[in-house]
Amino acid sequence: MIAFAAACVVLLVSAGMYLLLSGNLQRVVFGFLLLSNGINLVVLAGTPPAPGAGAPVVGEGPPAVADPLPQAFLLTAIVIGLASALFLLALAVRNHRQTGSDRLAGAPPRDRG
Amino acid sequence: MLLPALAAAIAVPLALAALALVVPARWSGWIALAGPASIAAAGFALWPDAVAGPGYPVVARWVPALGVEVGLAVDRLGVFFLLVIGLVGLAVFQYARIYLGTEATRGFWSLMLLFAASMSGVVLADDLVLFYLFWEGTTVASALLIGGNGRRPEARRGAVQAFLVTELGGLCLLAGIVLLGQVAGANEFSTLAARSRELTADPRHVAPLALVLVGALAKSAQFPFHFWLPGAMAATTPVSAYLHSATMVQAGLVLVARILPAFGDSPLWLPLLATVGLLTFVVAGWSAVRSWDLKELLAYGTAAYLGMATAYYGLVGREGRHDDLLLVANHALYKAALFLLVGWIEKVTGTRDLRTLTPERWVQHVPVGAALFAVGALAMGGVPLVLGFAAKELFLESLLHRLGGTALWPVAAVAVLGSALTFAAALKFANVFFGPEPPPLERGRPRWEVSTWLVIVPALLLVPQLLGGLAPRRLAEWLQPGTALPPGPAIWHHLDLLLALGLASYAVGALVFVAWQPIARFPPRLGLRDLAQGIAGAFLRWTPRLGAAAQAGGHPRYLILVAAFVLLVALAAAWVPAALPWPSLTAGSEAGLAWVPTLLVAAGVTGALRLPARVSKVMSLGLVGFGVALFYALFRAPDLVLTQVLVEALSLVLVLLALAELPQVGVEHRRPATRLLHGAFALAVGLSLGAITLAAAGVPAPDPAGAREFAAALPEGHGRNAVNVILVDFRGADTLGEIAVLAISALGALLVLGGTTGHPPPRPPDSPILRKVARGLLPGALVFALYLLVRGHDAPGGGFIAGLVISLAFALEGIAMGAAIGRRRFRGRSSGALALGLALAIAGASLALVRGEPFFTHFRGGPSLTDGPVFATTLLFEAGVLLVVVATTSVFASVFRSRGKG
Repeated sequence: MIAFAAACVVLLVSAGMYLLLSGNLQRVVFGFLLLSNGINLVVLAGTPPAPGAGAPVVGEGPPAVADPLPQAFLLTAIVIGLASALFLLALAVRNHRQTGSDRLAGAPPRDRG
Repeated sequence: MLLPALAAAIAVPLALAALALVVPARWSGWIALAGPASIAAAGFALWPDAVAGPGYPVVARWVPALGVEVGLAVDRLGVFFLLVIGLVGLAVFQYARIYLGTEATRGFWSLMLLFAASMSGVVLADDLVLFYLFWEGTTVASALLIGGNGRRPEARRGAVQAFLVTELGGLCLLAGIVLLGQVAGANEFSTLAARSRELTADPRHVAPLALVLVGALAKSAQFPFHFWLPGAMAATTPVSAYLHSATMVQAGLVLVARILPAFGDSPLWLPLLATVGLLTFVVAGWSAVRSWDLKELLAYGTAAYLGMATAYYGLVGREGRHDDLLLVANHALYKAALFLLVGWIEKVTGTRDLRTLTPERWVQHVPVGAALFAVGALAMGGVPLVLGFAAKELFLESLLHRLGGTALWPVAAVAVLGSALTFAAALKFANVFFGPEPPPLERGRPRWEVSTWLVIVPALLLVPQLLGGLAPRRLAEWLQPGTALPPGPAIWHHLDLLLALGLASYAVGALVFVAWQPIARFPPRLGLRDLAQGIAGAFLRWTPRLGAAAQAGGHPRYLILVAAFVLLVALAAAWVPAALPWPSLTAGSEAGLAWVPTLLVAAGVTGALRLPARVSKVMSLGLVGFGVALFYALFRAPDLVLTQVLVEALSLVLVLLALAELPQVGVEHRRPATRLLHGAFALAVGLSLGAITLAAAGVPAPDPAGAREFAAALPEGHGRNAVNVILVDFRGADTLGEIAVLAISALGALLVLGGTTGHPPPRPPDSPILRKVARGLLPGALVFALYLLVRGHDAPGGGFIAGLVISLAFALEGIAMGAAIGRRRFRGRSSGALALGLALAIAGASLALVRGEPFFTHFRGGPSLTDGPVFATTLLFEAGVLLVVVATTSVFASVFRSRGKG
């Protein structure tokens, strides 16, 4: 399972990074969403539960449980990832309302795609 | 007793520094006087404790209830320096009030107080990190004070140079502290001292010790860093007297004295300190002899004296240390006084250039001034009957005592040469006064118009010189018991080698003095200052260029730079020789199922990259999200599954809402070469993160914090769902911070989009069925959310998840009914809802304070203390979380739809 998760990390982070490097604000937002999913997966897959372990809820299921700490970190990370992406979008919308463009200023003109 | 005194030494000057900025400028000088007075009072109050207390050190812990431990050492060294900082500070502040008049701005006084507070921290800190913080405080205050108002180019140059040199030293010190922490496992001077034997036996101590000493030597203007001190003389005279002779430059000595008990026996100690110290003694002394400017002469003299003191510390080692405070006190008093007298001369004559002053010889008409100058110059020259003589004797004696055989003679010769040069410089100084010419008055101001305070203050500082000259042993005993000084006044005591060395230094010094003018014209200056000037200039020129180069390519370039560090870290980890164990690739229970979410993610990523239409891109992102949620399920994280699924659904709605206003994404416009480069780089980052994932999965967590918290969840947190207990209880402060971030992002969106006008909002679809469904869904969603909220402590659920459920219901309703409904929901006061949510969460966390328990101690009441949904403070906290989540998403929904109002 770890190998699959790691493969997904590679996919998500690479694609996210590639889009993040674009000069187009919408692509940047998409990249950000992919990247945050990938990073979340790194945190969780880095502390895999032992085989046969259950969810970290007392008194249910097997005695061995997954580590609750990374899960707690991730729960807030997911919500904050959403808020950050939405804030990025707000910036993109403002940029568009002001300049009429969805390109990022500062990038070399030829690369603003 | 201890705590108020420590507060008086550090907190009071800091508070005054803030106060001095806001009061009218004419009061700030008076207020500033209270700073050094408070420090001096603290010094006097602590002195009996420091003298009587256990040798080293008394440690005060700040705020023990919160576990905030700030190690402060209240010992003889620290309190003695407090007295120096306070008393010399008081003198200098009073002098500065008169000398600067209206030139002393509020900012000036604030900086002086900030400096005094930092300096007190430096001398009292036992914790090395704390020490470093205060140390940097003095560096910054010093540079700003040298720069003054920033209008004189020479002052700016001096400030930059002083900052670069002392900051370089500061960074070395920081590196040394970090390495020491690794080697010794301790971060306090006292612990290091206690482990001295094992530390010096470990050869790994050499590198950190050398780094720490570089920091100390740079601060004390020791060779090859001695050039920054004359450059710092561009500062106004009181600043030079206080920072660059009496206190800050002696901070290097404080550091040396602090680590002496730990490292005095190190093989590095004697050779390094004695060599650097003696070298500075001679080189700076030579420069002092060649100087024309009185302040520059004094600055080099300071560096030379500090060189002597550094060599003294190196020579005495751990065993023979008992008179170092006398050396420090001697210098702090006479050098500050001389600086202040030079300030007075400059006021009266309008110059401090010896080429003008010496032939005019006007000062002999001012007997008081001449007498003071004479005492100061005698102290500088180390002539009998003043304290300066005793200090020089101590230094030469430590040399004779420690060194023997063949090593003695060359070293003694160097020491004599150094003393001779300082003596010659002192003669130059004194020579200003003796001669026949009347003073011209056209440059300066008539003497009687200059305040007598400018003479009184240095006179007060020179009193100890005479007292110490008459009875050096009593003064030394008061400072430190076990002095090596004999009883009687400070004149020679025996016909011995010491006397011979002293006489030799006077003879050589007199010869140098006679020949000083030709010496000063002797061309080759030691080029260090020019070199440093060049380096500082290049530094200032290249830093902006570097910044511009990193940002020229827009965000892609600096994003690449940032992400490149991730790669570097990954590569560095791979380089570690003890290779991390490779995890079993099939670890985990449902290996056979994992290909399902992998396929979902792969399909989603491909779609997000390749599909042309924006809606399909967003849908693909949703696919990715659900794939990841499946992974969460496989990793046994039911709370995360719920959160992720809800977030995906919600972001689908909100992202599409925002994108509606933007043009289509269109085709990729990056040049093929750029795309290739970006793609290769992104792949490298992705691969390295994948490798990090595998490597991390292979090693068990070194600290089973999670397991501990799971075990404590029911007995201590009264909850069965460990994830939720961690969120609301064990690490509740973390969660409080997270919802604050949510609220800030929403407020930011309100600010960014609040006042702007967008497209007309998309018209709600005219579908009665959708409307009915959305309407009908809402009450059910609210009830379900309430259920999730209440059960969250014991089963998957909780404030975040319940908040997302309500947000989703609101978003659906918004789609069905249009934007107005969302605005009506909070009556346009969504920021108020955010604040209310935060307030609820804080209330839930702090109700425990009423019961006298720490923040975030939750308790529950109700029919049963073990089972069932009952009222608990966790619920209050969770309700706050819920409200913040709902308000945040509503704000985003409304600003994306808005036509001008948030």
